[in-house]
Parts: sequence; C-alpha cells; structure tokens
Amino acid sequence: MIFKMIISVAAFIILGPFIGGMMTGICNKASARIQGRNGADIFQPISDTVALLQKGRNENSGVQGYYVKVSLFFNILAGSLFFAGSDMLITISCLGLGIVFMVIAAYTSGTYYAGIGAERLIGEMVAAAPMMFMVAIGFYVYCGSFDVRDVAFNSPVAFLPLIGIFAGFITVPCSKLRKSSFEYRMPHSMYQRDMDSISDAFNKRDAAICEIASWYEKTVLFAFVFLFFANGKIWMIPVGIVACLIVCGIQGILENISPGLSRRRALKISWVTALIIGVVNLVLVYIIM
Amino acid sequence: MSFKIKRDKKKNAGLSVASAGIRTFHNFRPESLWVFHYDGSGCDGCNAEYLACLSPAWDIERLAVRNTGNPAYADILLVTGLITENSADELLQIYEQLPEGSKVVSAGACACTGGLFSECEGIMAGVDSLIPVDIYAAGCAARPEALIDAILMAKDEIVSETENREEAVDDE
Repeated sequence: MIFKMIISVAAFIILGPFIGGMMTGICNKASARIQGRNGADIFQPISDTVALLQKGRNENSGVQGYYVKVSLFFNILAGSLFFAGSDMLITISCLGLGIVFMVIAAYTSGTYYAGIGAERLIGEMVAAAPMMFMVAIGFYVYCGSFDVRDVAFNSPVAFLPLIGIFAGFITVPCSKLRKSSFEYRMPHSMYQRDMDSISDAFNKRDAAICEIASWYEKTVLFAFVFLFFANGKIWMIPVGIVACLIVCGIQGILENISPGLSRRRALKISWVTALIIGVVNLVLVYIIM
Repeated sequence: MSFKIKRDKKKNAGLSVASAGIRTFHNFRPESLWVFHYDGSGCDGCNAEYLACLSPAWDIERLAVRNTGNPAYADILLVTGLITENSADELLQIYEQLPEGSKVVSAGACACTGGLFSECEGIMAGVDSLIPVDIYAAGCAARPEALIDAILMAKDEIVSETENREEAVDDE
C-alpha cells in the first residue's frame, strides 16, 4: 500500500509538469483551431519554458523568488496528497495556498501589471472556491468519504449522479485550466500575451518556475476531472483520459466565447452556477441515496 | 583500499551521469522564439502589419514564435516605426535588458533608415544609428511575409551561433 503511494506520488512529481504542459498545449491548439489558425505544437509550452531556462544568466530575483518557490511547493504538495489518496479538502486548501503565495509574489515585485495579474488571480480564486468545495461535498455525499482513495477505488462512477457538479466544475474552477501563469486574463490570443501580467517583473528562472507551478496545478485539476470517472477498474482509465481531452476542447470553446467577460460578471455567474447547479444536484443525490 | 577504489568509481560514475544529463539539457535546443516588439512613432503601418502576422491569415504562432512583454525573456527585439530622440533612451534601456545572443530586427523603411523623415529634426536616421541591427526587413510598410522572413533569418543566426559556441567549447 505504502509502496503504491510512493510510486504514484513520484510519478506525479516527475510526470506532472509534462502532463500539465501538454494539456496547456492541447487547450491552445483547440483554441487556435476554433479561430481558424493552425496554432503551435502541443508541446510548445514545454519548449518555451525549457528555452526560457536556458537564456543566459539570471538577475537577482529578490523576495518574490522565494514566494514563487513556496507556491510551487504547495502545488506539488497538493498533487502529492491527492495522488497519495489523502483527503481532497486538504488538496483544495493547498491549491488555494499555492495561489495565495503566487499573488504575494506578484505584489512584492511591485510593478503595475503584476498587480493587475494578482488582482485577476484573486478574482479567479474567489470565483472558483465555492464550486471546488461543492465538488468535495458532492463526492462525500455520493461516496461517503472525502478520501481520494475511497472515491477512486471503492465507489461507483460518480459522473452521472454528479453531472451537475461536473458541469459546474468544468465551467467555473476549470477557468483556471486555460490560464497560463504568463497571462492571467480571459482571452488567450497571441497578441494579448504581450502583457505578461503576473510574471511581469520576475527573472527568467522565476517565470519558468511560475509556469511549472501552474502546470502542477493544472494536472491536479485534471485529476479531479478524472476522479469523476474512476471506479477502480482498469477499463475506466481510457474513458477518464478521453474525458480530460474533451474538457480541454471545451476550455478552448469557453475561452473563445467569453473574451469580453468582466471579472464582476464572471464572479456572479460562477457563484450563481455553484449555488443552483451544485445545491440542486446535491439535494437530488441525497434524496436518491 | 579496494573498498575506497570502488567507492571512487561509483562517485565518478554518478558524476558522469549527472554531467551527461546537464549537457543533454543544455544541448537540447527547443524550437521556441520569443519576440519583443517595440513600435516607435510614425504612421503605425508596420505595427499593423506585425499584428497581421499574428492573425489567422499568417499565423506566426505555428512557427513556434510567441510574443513577450518582458525584454529579458526575448530572443528577438523587433523594432518598427520611427525612433525619435525622445524615444531613444527607452530603446536603449530595452536593448540593455536583452539576454546574451539576442538579435535585433529592424522592420520597415522608417526603422531601417528613417525613411521619408530621416532628415527631420529630432528623428534618428534608422535604428542602427543607436543600437547594432542584425536583420533588416525592407518595405513601407514591411509586409507580413517580410517580417516573418526576417524573424526566421534571425532564428537561423541564433541557432548557428549557438552551435559554433558549443563547438568552440568542445575544442577547448
């Protein structure tokens, strides 16, 4: 049991950034195809980050370098707890802490654009928080446990009973799935990457770490998507992977139909969605169970 | 004694594996090009043409090119438009922040020579009167094809320079 846990945590730590980077590439590709472009290769985000790490010497990073590394640590910790089969509420809290440290890093860098990126990130976090907790509560009501291990191996597939929560999850907290730490903003088109919001004043290494931290976070969020399809059987693994890829495509569509969405409206929509879809779904599951 | 020798060998083997890993990481050159675009004053035509490069018609992103807002990350500094005496300091400041081995592309008649305005007061006669330029893209305004060509030529130069540097290090 402990051996399996160690293997899965090590696999997450080694493969997490690759999966997150690849998923970012797939999201970008889907978005480009919707816009009528060919778009970059799906491994382009990984290439960009490796290239960034190889670009000569780094300037002194200052205190924000420390906060960026702490943020990376909490994202890795969140994923490790998740893949060790631990409590999913702690995973969600660790993800939140990771974002908080990224926000502090952006604020301490002291530039205007980094401040804008930090504000946007807080907005996203606040918008996503109720739905994230709703997911955990949904799993608890249906599977009777907050532990990822119980949900993944000892419970039936939770997708159909929790379909409302799943729909809310892929539209609201997964808005984070389509964001790169290089630019926390609604549209993801090429020219708008001009303003690197959150990593505006980071040095090259910190910007790369910031990106890698976001990939870990993305992997954990996709693992939550996978959890809706897990029932401990091997034949559900490809189904879960296909579901994650479909969610990637949906992110591309959502990104392209919501370019002018203001933060206030996003907050309203996400909270109302979480309240209506989430609560109705929970009540129905409670009655049926 | 034999124990010591074995231990040293193990240590060396570990070190050689680590150094091989680091060397592979450094030799691995991913296809990635970060462009920092600086637009001076002028008619803004070249700026519009560069934006057209990002549109679905030309889609420069498919060639692994991406924009960046921070000159410290950039492989290429793309300058379009007129450089005035007031904006010269800004451009110099940006140039100083570029990482080692970056290239400067000057695009359009105004950026290359000053164009129509080269003899006007307060206008620099081309970017190269201020900073060294590697690639010139002609045109008024420079067409998207010319801009993409110039960026790819700069990319080739970066690749060949890196290879030469590595060969020199290997020879030493």
